[in-house]
Amino acid sequence: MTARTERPGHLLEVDDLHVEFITRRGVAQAVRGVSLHVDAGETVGLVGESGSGKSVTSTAILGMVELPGRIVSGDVRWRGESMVNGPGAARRAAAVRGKEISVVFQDPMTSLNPLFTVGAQIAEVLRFHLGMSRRDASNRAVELLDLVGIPNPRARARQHPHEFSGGMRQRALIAMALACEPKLLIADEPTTALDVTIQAQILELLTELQAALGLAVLLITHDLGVVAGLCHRVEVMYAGRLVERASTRDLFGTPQHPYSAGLLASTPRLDERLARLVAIDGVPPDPRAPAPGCAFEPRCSISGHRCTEEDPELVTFAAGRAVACWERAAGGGADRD
Amino acid sequence: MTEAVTGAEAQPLLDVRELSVRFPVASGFFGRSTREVFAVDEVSFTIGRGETLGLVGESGSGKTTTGRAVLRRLPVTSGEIHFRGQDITAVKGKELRGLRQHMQLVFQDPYASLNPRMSVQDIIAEPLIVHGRARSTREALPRVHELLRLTGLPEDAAGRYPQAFSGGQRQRIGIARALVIDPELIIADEPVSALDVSIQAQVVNLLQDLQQELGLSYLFIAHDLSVVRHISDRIAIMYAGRIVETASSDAIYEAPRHPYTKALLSAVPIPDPDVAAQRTRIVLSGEMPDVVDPPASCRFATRCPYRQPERCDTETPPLRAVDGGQWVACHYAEDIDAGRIRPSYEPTPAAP
Amino acid sequence: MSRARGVVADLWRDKFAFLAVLFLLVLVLAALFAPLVAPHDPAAQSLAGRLLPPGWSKGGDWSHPLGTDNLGRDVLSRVIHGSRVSLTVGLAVVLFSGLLGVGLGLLAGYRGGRLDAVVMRAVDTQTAFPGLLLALTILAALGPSVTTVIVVLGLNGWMVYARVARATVLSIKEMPYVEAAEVVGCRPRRVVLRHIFPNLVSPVMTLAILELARIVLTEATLSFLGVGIQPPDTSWGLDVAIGKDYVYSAWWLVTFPGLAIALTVLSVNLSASWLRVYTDPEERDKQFAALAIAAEGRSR
Repeated sequence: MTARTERPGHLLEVDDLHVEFITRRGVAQAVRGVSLHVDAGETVGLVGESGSGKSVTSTAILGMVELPGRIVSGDVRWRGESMVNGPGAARRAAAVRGKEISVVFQDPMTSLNPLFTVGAQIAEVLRFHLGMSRRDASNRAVELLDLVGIPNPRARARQHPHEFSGGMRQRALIAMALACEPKLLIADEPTTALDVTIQAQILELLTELQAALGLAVLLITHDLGVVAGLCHRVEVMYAGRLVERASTRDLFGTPQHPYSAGLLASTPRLDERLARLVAIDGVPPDPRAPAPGCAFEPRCSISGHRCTEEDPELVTFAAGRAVACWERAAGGGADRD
Repeated sequence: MTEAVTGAEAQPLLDVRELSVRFPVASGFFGRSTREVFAVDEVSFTIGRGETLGLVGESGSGKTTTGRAVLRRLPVTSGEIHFRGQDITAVKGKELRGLRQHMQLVFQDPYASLNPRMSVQDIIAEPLIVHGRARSTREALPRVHELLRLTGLPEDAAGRYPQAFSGGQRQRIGIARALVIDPELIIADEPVSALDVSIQAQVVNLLQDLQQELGLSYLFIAHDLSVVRHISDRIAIMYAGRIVETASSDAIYEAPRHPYTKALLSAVPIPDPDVAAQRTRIVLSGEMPDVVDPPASCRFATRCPYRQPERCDTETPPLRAVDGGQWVACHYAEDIDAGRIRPSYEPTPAAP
Repeated sequence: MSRARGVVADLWRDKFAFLAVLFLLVLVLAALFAPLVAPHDPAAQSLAGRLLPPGWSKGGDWSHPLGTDNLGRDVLSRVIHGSRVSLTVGLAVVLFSGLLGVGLGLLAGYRGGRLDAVVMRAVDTQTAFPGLLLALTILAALGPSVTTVIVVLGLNGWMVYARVARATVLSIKEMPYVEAAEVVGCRPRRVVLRHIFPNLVSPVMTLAILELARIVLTEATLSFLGVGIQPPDTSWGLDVAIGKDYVYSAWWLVTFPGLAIALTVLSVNLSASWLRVYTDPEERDKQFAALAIAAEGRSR
C-alpha cells in the first residue's frame, strides 16, 4: 500500500465508530460515527459534557465495551492493526491494553484494589505484560513511584491504597499506567475528583512525563481550562458525534461550531468577571431518539433550514481544522461572532 | 473579631464569631479520648442582606462543616452564631425547626438530594406543610406552581418524579424546595459542582436572578474559584479549618495577600491557551495536613513558599486587617507584599 | 394496564419463574375457595373407602383422584384445605415477625446510640438460640394450636427483619434527601415515615417472600412432629406424619402433601429470584440486551 510510505501511519486510529446501548426503553446511540486519530508525542483533548459519548469512545478504544453496550460498526486500529474486527482482534486488544495503551481513570479510590499494596499492584502489571521476575518487578515499581514524584517510594510501595491521599493515589495510578512504557496514555477525567492545587500538581506531572518520555496522551475531559494548559489539539464531541476539530489555539481563539463557542462562553473564567454568565439554553438530546438533523439544532442560535433535516458531516476546511455544521462549513474560518 | 468581614450594615443577617467545631478522634475502649479534630477553628465572618459570601477551600478545609454548623446541623464547640439578631448557637428542637423557615440549604448532589418516591409537587410542598402554612400538597399547589415558574421548570413537572429530570432540572427542583418558605439566607453547598459546564451557567444565572428578585443572601460554599468569583460579593478562603484571607471578589483576584491564596489562584486552570502559557504557576508540594490537636503554628507553614524561621512554626496567625479592606492570617503579609521576603522557589513559567 | 402486560411479558421470558408464579396463584385461589374447589369434606371419614389408590391406578376411583388415607378421607381435598393452613400461618407469621422486626430495626437504625445497642444485642442473643428447639419446647409446654404456632414462629423470626431494616435505614439515613427533609424542618416522625420507611419496602419485601417459604416448611415440620396443627384441622405436615406409617403400602399418602410442600417452597424461591432481577434495573438491562442480541443472531 503506497499510503504507508507516503504518510507515517497514525498511532491510534478510530474509524467511523458506532456504539450503542440496548435498554428496555430503546436503543441509545452513544457514539454515532466518530473518526479521530492520535499521533506519537501529541496530546489530544477529547472534550464533551455528559452524554457526549466521550467516555464510551475511550472504552471502545480499549476494547472494554460490555453489555448492554456494544460496538455496532467501525474500527479502532492501533499502529494499523484492527482491535475490533477480524480474527485475533480481541487478543490483540488484550495484549495492547495495559502495555502499549494504558489508562488512568477518574476515581483513584475505586481503581486501586484495597487489599493489595500499591507496589504489588504495579509489579503485577510488569510481571503480566513484560514477564519480569518478582524482584525485578518490585524494584521497578519503586522506581516508577519515584518517577511520579512520590516521596519515600520504597516505604510507600509497601503501603495500601487507603494510606495514600487522593493526589498520591492518582500518581500511583499514573505510575502503574507508565509501567510498561506505553506509547499512548488515555486519561479519562484524571483530575476531576481532585482538589485544585493537587490537580495542578498532577497536570504538571503529566506535562513533564510527556516531554521526558515522548508519550502521546488522549485526555478526556469536560474542563476547558485543563485542555488549554495541556493539549496540542482538541476534538469536541456532542451527542455522540464529533462537531469540531482544531488546534488548541484555534479552538479557543476562533471556535467554529456553535456548541464549542457556547461551551467556551459559558465557562466562567477566573480572570474575568461578567455581569451574567452566557448559558446555552436547553439540554442535550435523548440518545435513544436522535433527531434526523443536527443534534445541536434545538439549542443553536444560528440554525438554518438544512439543520433540521440533515445531520452535518465533519468537513475539513483548513489544515487540521474541521467542523460539522451546515452554517459554518460554507464560510469556514470566519471570526468568532 | 467580628468587625472582621463586615458588610456595610450595622446588623448583618448572619454574624459568625470565632466559630469552632471540634470532633473527638475515635475514642478508646472506655470511651475517653482527648484527641480532637479541629474541623473548624475560630472562624468569623458576616453576611449582610442581599449579599453573597463565597466560602472557598479544598477538601479538608472545613468549609462544608462550617456550612453545616451555621445551619445548626452540627453542635458548636465554641464561638457564637447570630442570625437575624438572635443568638442561635445553642438552639435545638422545636425552636431549631422554626429557624428553618429562615435559613435553607441547597445540596451538591442533584441526584441524591431528592426523594425518588416523592413527586415534585410533594417535594416542593413539604416545607409548607411542615411549617403549618398548608395542610396538604393540594392546598399548596398554587405556591408550588409559582416556584416552578420562578425556577424555570415546566408547569407539568409538578406531577412527575425526580427521575424524569436531568441534573440541572433536579437542581432547580432543589432550589424551589429551598425557596418555597421564603427564607432569608440560603446556604449553597457546592450547588453546581456536579453539573455540566453549560448547565452550571444556567443554574448560576438562576441563583443570581433569584437573589435580585427576592433579596436573598447566600453563603456560597465551593471549591471552584472561577464560579465563586463570578457570583460572590466577598470571598473567604479557608485552609485546614481556618480562614486565611477575606476580601472582595475583585481584590482576592487582583491582589491576593496570603501565600495560599496566591497558590490557589495560580492553580486554577484558565480556558485560554495564551493566558495559560504566560501564567506563573506556583505548584505547592505536599498536601493539606490533618488537623488533629494542632500546635500553635500557622497551618500552612509546612507548604508555604514564604515560610520564615521565626513565628510561622510557633504562633498561629490571627485574621487581621491589612490595608485595602482585606483581612489576612499571615505574620508577614506586609513584608511579602513589599518584596522583603522572597519565595523559596523560582516561580516556573508554565510550559507552552 | 400496559405496565401489567410488561410484567407478564418479562415473566414469560423466564419460564421457570412463570410456572412458579402460576403455581402460587393457583395455590392462593385454591386456599381462598377451598370449600368450593375441594371435591369432598377433608374430615369426612369412610371405613369402606380406606386407602384407595389414586384415580389412575388399578383399583383407584376417579371420585378420589389422589386416593384416600387410612380413615378414608380424600387426599386431594386434604391437600387443598391444607394449603389454607400453610398460607394462613405463613402470611400471619411473616406479618407478625415482619412488623416486630422492622419496627425494632427502624428504631435502632434511626435513633442509634443506646437503643441501637440494646436492640442489636437482643438480636444477637436470640439468634444464638436454636429456634426450632425453642419452638418445640414452648409449643409442647403451652399446647399446640394454630394461634400458638403463629405466635411462637413469629417471635422466633423477627431478628432477620430487624437486621435488614437497620442496615437499610443506616444507609438511607446518609442520603442527602433525608438530610434535606430534616433541614426543611420535618420532625423525626415524619422523616421516618415519609422518607425512610418507603425505601425500606423493597429489601424487606424480598426478605419476607423468602421467609414465607421457610415458615411453610417449618410449620410442616412442627405439624409432622405433632406440636403444630392438630386434628381435625388439616395440614400438609400433619398428613405427611399420618402417611409415614404407610410409605410402602400407600405411597400416595406421603407423596402428595410432600409434593405440595416442595412445590410451594420451590415456587416461592423461584419467584423471589425472578423478583430480585426484575427490581434491579441494571440486571434487567443486561439480560434484555443479551437476549436482544441473541435474537438478532438467530434471525440472520
